Amino acid sequence: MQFHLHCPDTIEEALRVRREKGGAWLAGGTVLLVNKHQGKPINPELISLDKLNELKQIRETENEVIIGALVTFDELEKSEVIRSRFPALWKAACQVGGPQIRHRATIGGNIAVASPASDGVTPLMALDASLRLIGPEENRIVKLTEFYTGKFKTDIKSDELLAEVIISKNSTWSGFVKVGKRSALAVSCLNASMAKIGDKIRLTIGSAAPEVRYCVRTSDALTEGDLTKACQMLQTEISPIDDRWGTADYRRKVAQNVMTSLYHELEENE
Amino acid sequence: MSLILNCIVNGEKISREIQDDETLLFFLREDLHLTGTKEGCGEGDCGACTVLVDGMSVNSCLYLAAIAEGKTITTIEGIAKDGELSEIQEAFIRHGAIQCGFCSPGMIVSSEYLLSQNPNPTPEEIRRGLSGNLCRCTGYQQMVDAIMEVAKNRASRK
Repeated sequence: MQFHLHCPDTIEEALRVRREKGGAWLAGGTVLLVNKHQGKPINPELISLDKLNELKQIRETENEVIIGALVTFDELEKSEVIRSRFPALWKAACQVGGPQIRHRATIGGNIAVASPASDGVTPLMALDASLRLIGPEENRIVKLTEFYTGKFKTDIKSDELLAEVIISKNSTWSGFVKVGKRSALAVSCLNASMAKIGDKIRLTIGSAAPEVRYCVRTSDALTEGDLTKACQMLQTEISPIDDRWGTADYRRKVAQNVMTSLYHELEENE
Repeated sequence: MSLILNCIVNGEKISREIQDDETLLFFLREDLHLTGTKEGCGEGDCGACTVLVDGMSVNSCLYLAAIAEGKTITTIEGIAKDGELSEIQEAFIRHGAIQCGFCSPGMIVSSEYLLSQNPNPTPEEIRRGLSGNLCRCTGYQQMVDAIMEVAKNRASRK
C-alpha cells in the first residue's frame, strides 16, 4: 500500500496529525492522484482536508473577499462575488480542466502545488492577493508575490496549512487570457492577467518562468501608458523554456500579444 | 492500512473494507464489480471514469474511495432505472452517439449531470458541459443533438 490516509475532522486535528506524522496535505487530489498514477513518489502519510468545512467558504467583508483554501474552481465559477469583483479570477476558474476537475480541484491546492503554469495564481497575483497560513502556534499573512521561492517551491513551513486567500476589493478592472493546445483539459502554454488597482496596472505572466511572475518593470511601463517600453521590459522579466506545451520563442511572442490585448481591453473599459 | 467504507451506491447501502490508497474507480470496478465505469487514462484527462458523487460529476480515478464515506454515488449502472434506459441513453442510441461505447458511460453520466444543472442548454453549453469527456469515434455532434432533443422533450412536457 502506497500511503496511509488520515481524515481529520477539524483544523486543529489536521495540524496535530501533521506535527506528529509529517505527511502531505491532500485537497482535491487532482495533482496528487495523477502523481500516484504516474508512479511518482508519494508521501506515505496523506492528510485529507475534505472534512474541513470552515475552509470551504467565500466570505466578504467591507474591504476584502476571503476565499477558503478548499473552495473549488467550480464554486469560484458559480460565485457572483468572484464573477463581478474579480473577473480575471472568474475567467481563469472557468478554464481550469473540465467540469469533473473543477468539481474537485481547489484554489488552495492550485496555489500550494506552485506549478509555473498555474491558472489560479496568475490572476490572484495580478490582484495582489495575500495568503493566510495557519500554524500550531501562530497564523501569518504572506503576499502571494512573496510566496514562491523557486520552481514548485513555496515559503510554507512544514507545520503550516494554507487556509485562506485574501483579495482586497480595490481593483477596478481585471482580465485574464489562457493560451493552450485545446480549450479544455489543457495545461497552459502561457497565461496572463492584468489588473488595475488605483492608478497602477499590474501584469502577471504564467508558464513563462519557474514560477508565475509579477512583471514589475513591465507593469510600471503600462502604468505610464508606454506600451512600446512595456513590450521591451516584458522580455527581460520572463524566462520561458521549450517544453511539451510550447517553445520559448513562441511563448515570448504570445506573451507580448496577450499583454497588448489585455492592455487594449483595459483601455476600452475605462 | 484498511478501513471500512460506508456509502450508498446506486441506491444501495454499501459497507466494505477498503485500502487507504484505493481509488473510487478501483473500488467500483474491482470490489463492487460495477464495470460500467471505465479506466481510460487514469489521470483525469478523458472522463471515461466519470461518476456522480452527491450529484456532482467527478473523475473516479482521482477520487479516493475513503473520501466517499457517507456519500451517495451514482454510476452508469444506476442511470438506467428498473431495467429501463434513461431518456439520455435512448437518445444517444437514436442519434448514433455510441460507436465503440468506451466513452459512453462517462459521457452519459456527464450528460445527466449537465441537464440536472442546466435543463435547457445551448449547443455551446452542451459542448462545455461535455468538455471533460473525450470521444475518439463520434466527433461529438451526435451527443449534442441527443442532449438537445432530450432537453426539448422535457421542456415540452412541462
